[in-house]
Amino acid sequence: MNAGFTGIDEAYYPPFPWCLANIHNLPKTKNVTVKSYIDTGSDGTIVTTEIGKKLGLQRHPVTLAETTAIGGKPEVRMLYAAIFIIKRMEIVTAVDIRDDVEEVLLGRDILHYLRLTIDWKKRTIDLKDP
Amino acid sequence: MSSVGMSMEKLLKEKKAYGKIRPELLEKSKGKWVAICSGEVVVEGDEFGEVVKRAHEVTGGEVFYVTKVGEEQRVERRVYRNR
Repeated sequence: MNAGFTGIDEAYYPPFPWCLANIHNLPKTKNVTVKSYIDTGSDGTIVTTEIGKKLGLQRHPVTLAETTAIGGKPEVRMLYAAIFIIKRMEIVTAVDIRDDVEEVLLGRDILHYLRLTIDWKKRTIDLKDP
Repeated sequence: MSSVGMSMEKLLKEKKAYGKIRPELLEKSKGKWVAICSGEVVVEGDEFGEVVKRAHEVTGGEVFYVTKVGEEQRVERRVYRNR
């Protein structure tokens, strides 16, 4: 059980599973701990503009990617290095910083490093470093 | 130009430089993650995260471009199914 570290947010319909993530900039000089939604449908992780600014993530672009939302037009965007610490596991990834989201969305670029079990009936999430 | 604009310009320049050296990298580093800075490979490795961290150290915080040799289209494409 991960009381306080994970949960299922009933404010969303359908409910949305989340976990706490400690996000650092690449030099590890700044960090924030935020509720991050588990989005197995996303290839990549997205952070809000506010978090991007707070951590100075835009100083460290690392690649370009063609991003597409269902029904949307493809858009080439810069992705920025960020370090996520989840359950003491450190994962470096390239995040998209967007002004059209209000929460951090953890994509499969991060999730595939973890052992994740969601029990929707019991409303529990088990997240482990494999 | 803003720092974000300059970073974008530098990233595009490094990506273009990668395009020029890609044929030789396909022969010797296919399947590896590489970091390109000042037109050259500064770090290569098997894990994205390790390459990014080492490249940050080696370049002293300069902008560098990271991709996977021979799999550029696969790793530089993202679909957000939830948005």
